[in-house]
Amino acid sequence: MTQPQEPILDSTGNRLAGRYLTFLLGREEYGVPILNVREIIGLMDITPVPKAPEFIRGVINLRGKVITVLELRRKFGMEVVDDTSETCIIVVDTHRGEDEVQVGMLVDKVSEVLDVVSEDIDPPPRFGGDSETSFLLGTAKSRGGVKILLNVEEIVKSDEVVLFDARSNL
Amino acid sequence: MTDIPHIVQELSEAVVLTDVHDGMAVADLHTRLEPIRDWCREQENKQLEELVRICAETLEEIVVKEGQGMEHSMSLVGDIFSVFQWVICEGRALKEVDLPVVKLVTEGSSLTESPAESGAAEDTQDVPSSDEDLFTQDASPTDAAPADRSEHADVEASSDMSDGSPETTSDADSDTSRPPRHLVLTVGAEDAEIVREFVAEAREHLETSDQQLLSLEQDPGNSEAVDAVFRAFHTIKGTAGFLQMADLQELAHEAETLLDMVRKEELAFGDGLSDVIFESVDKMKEMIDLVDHALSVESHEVDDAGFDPLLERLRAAARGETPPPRAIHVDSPDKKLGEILVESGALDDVDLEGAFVEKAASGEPLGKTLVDQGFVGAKKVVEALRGQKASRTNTVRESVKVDADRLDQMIDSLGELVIAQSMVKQMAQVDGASSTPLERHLGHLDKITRELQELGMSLRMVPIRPIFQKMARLVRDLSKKSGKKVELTFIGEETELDKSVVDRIGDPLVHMVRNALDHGIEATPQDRLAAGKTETAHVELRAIHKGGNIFIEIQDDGRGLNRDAIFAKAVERELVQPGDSLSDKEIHNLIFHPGFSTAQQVTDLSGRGVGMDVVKRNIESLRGQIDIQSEPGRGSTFSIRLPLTLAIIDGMVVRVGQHRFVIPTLSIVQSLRPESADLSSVLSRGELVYFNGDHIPLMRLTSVLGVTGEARKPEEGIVVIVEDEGRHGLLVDEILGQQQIVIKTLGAMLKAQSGYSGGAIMPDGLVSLILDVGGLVRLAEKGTPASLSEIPQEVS
Repeated sequence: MTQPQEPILDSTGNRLAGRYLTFLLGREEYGVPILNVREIIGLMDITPVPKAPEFIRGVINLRGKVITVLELRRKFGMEVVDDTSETCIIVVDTHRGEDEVQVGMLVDKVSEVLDVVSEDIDPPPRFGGDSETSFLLGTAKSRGGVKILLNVEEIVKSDEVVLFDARSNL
Repeated sequence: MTDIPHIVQELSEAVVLTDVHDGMAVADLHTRLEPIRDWCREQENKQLEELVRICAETLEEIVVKEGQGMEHSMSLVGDIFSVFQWVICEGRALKEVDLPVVKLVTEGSSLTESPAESGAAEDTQDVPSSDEDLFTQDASPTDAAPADRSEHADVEASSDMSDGSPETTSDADSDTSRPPRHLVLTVGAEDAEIVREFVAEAREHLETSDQQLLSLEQDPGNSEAVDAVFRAFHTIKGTAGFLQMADLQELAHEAETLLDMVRKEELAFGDGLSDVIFESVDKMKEMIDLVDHALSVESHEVDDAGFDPLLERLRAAARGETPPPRAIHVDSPDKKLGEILVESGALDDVDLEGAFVEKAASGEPLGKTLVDQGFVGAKKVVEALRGQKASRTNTVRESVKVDADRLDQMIDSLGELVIAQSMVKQMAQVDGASSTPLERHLGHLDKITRELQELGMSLRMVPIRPIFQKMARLVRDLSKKSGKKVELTFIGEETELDKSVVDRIGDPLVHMVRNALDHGIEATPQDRLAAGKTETAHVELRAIHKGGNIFIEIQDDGRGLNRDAIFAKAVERELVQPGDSLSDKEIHNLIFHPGFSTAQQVTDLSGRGVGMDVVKRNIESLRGQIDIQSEPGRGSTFSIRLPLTLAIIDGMVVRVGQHRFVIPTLSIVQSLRPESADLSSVLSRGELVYFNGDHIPLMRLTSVLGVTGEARKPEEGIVVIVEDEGRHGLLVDEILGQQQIVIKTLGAMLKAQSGYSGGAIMPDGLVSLILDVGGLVRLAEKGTPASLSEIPQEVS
């Protein structure tokens, strides 16, 4: 065990170390805190919502509740691909303003649950002004490469497409 | 520094809206006093600080007493807040304010001068207790005090009632710690003859009083009866004084004073008043009996524990504080008076029989006969009559308090039930094996489910009446303060809304009523007369159900919105250009901008410019809309439209291309396949369809929603005529059917999405979007992307 370091905190002061559910969008791997994850469901029929923002794929019925499904690729301004048999929806619990919300995130493939320790976490790169990167908690090094840790609340909060080029930041 | 005037104003409004019996709301007011107290401290304004303290103590007392008989205290709180508003919000000097409670703090003397021989309860009140105590939960040491202080304030100006008075604690009844009054009745031998006469006369007077009080019960306006009782007390007082029977004199004096106030119409003869007068009559009868006894034994002394409390109650009544009237509980509206009295043990069967005989002979009402014959005391008859009236006129419905969460859960479950039942129905049809018994049973199941669901929906519905009544209080308050004469009328106060909506509509309505009174109505009654209107302004509050929505309207016959003033203000705020020409509707909508106010000065009533935009937001958060109609010089109507938050509605399922949508059946007027002849197109208005004598705008859902549909020409599809802010024809490809659907909200991310009022879970488990016609209209009018996020943002 190495010397205990200063725990890395995100912008709201929460410890970043912990367990993350990682998933793939294209070739990049992302992670969200496991505490936010409610469940993972396979791709099901999604009812589209005409005139809603592009990154909202639609809504689904989750045991009697209507949940919005975000297409993360579109949300991040990435290239859009067809669904595959591995495409699934990660349902997360978070807040939007004062309301508690459940939102589904459509991802290419779910990877694993990863234990991330402080030493492995790097703070998010800054561009200029927090707003562009507030949805990033940081990056985590792991044997397979680097995982981009996402701030679920920020992603859900914003009404905009969040553009960033993951590769150029690393 | 927090905005104290704003806090004071918000609290003032809350005070008006608070029900004195709602412990939680009153306690909340108490907590919210803190910033004001702190501010007074900072400003080193001892007098204001003292007012805050009195206010807090009064509120505590109200909570402790659960609001019983506390209307007077609540009005004291209201007065204190008026003072705050005048001093803190308007900067007037404290001594300019002409209210008794202000004299309390400015003159200072009454505060520390507590009645000498008080009971234990008052020891701590001499020096204003430390501020820490002020806001702690423990209200006990001071709870007797505030009412006392207010007593002093009011008593100062009025009669000499406190002369030679014994201890005055507010809670007389429970005061067993005080020694009973020692009544001494002495009759010297030389006075015997006079006293005998006095006794006879007094008894006659008291009997008359009984009867008169009984008739007053039926007819409180009977001034002759009031006079008669007054004279009775007056005479007894005089003679008792002459005979040096001080205690009797005192009692008669208090009672007489009370009657005098009724006579002069300073007090209304209400039920609570009649109770305490009845008691006085009874007590006097007792005392007269003692005098009679004293005639034979020369002197009679007795300890009467009930004497002083009665005196206290008389004084309290004179101040307007009366406890709720006593009545015998009658459980069935069919009980007759005689029955009630016998059942309650006040009357004997035999006596009742006798009374009937008498009554038949004299033709008098039973109650009167019973009293005349001495079978039962007038007071008991009165109590019985009250009980009888209550059980008949009150549709006193028994109610049960239910945890709101459980109610919600139940409604959710009912929703699931509806879905499941739909699915079963569908499957039975699909399988084709629909046998008649099965169909019958399914039909039965359907019927029961429907009933259950209607019942469930109705559980959450409450009438809007209490909100309207709060407005009545507000209007009275405001019209008093502003000197404007206003008459408020209601229409549709029995209209029911979902409970959650009723809770949240209160604040916006308060703002709007204030606006109507402050800006809408002319400044003085004279102005109105000059304008050819009646002196009294009229404000009408209406609530109506229409087309699946509820409309709440506030109409006033005041000045109407001033187009020019609004336009000028908007130019000032750079919301519009000086040269712009705006429609009436656009001008009216300008007032919803944050910070917008055309009031020349900020009054305590309104004009801070925070009102209308908050109102609009509140209403929109209820998925409602607000609309204004106004005519300069004639008045304005503010109209709020709210959806009836029904969890389950009847919906028509339609198809546009691959999409399924649901249209609430309530909004649908008719569906039809248009003929070419009915269709037309006007350049400025778009496509129209002729229906029932009108040309109705046609909305192609394909273009409004940007989806692909099949019908290129309206004649190829179906037009669903809907009513929602006017009529529109929605063009769809096909009608799939009608069914019960459960409305689910679309979630926080889509709540603001125009065009949909929610999601529906269909029998096949998929979600369908419920169309909101108003939203669709707006989408169509805008013709721009529904939300900004369709345009990707550049990030460097």
